[in-house]
Amino acid sequence: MWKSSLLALVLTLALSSTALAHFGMVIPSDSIVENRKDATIDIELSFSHPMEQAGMPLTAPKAFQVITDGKASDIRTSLKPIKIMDHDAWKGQYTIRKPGVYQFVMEPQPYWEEAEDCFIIHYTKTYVAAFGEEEGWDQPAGLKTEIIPLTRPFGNYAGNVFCGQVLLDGKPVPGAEVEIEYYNRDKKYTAPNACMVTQVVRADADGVFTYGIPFAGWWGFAALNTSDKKMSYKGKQKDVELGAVVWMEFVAPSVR
Amino acid sequence: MQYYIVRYCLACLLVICFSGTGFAHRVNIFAYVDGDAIQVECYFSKSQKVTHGKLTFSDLKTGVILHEGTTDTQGMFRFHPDMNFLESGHGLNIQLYAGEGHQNHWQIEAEELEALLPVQPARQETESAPQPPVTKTLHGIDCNELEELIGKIMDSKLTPIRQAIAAQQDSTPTLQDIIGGIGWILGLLGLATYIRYRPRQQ
Repeated sequence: MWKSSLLALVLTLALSSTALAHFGMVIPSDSIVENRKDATIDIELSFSHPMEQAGMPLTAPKAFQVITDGKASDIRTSLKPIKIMDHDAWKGQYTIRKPGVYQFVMEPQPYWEEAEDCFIIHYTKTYVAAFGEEEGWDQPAGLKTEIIPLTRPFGNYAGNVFCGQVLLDGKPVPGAEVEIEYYNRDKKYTAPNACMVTQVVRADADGVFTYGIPFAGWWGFAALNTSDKKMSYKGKQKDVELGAVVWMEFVAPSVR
Repeated sequence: MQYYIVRYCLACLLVICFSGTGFAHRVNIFAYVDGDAIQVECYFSKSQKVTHGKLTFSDLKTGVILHEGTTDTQGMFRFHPDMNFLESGHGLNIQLYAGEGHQNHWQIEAEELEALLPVQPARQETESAPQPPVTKTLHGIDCNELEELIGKIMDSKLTPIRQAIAAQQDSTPTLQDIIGGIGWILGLLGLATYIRYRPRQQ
């Protein structure tokens, strides 16, 4: 009896961790700005299981920056508390004043995940391209861990293939596991089974992975690694999951 | 024969030169009010500007052409619209021709152009709309109003000067830097004190 219930518990934990992937989220109101009147961007920060629309609380992020031309600006003070998926989340605002590629980057406070017995830190970013300028989209943001896009991270059709490289401490991560989820706003779609909530690919020896985007919307890519440093929880040393997360919009062509 | 080969090679070389990343892209135009003029920037990308691109400035409402110009080697052009146009309260359309198949345009709304009009004393007397509070005192403005007003002013002024100020703001010392700096000063003082009063060997 004991054995079987333990087995069930282990199975549940194992399955729930694969089916429900955590994602730091940074979602701008637009991924491309063409007109001055659209230059003020709202950016929503949250922490969730995006496909299943299950939120978790996001405490005030440790850092929230915009990076353009290799220069980072702190825009944390623009954050205001909001609710996303019924949980604490944040909304920031930034007005783009000149052409360029803008990376919006969030570093959250470590999140204690009881079910996985570890802390989670998802370094999360997204891109906004403004006024026709495209140069610089392949530049690293210089995070502890991040996905460097090898496909331009904006202006992509649904159905395109996205290619990226996983870096940890600036070095490629051979065989990194990348989890991919759709931001299922308004629960537009339902996964046919638990396996299809999160898509999974593995990077090659150079940390490079590829994924074909099946339908239009915002897609998040999370490359997960365990930090070599532990953190203390109630006096015990616990693992820290480091996530390199990037969010991108894939768009269906308009039909005349 | 040799002449033709040379010419062919030269043609190929030219084609290769001009088919760089820049020309694969569309051409871009970006313009804003900057001080007493309109600054126009034309580019294929950051590293490839539109040199000698033809610009046509026209009244957004009537279509009347106001001015024509050519970008410099940095893809830049400065346009001083005349007072008659500015007083018409119309917007501005800027058309860029950067060669066959490379065209784009940019519009500046009338509100943004207002910044180019000289401040008239009469305006301040008949002030009803929330103008920039040059002569207004802060009394009687609540926080929301003030916030809105500041937001409006910020939005209407998109000059590189402001960008430069913003850029400088980014590098202002944070609290951490200041505490770190104080730490350094104390540390150096401590070191100096130690050196001054350290026990000397006879």
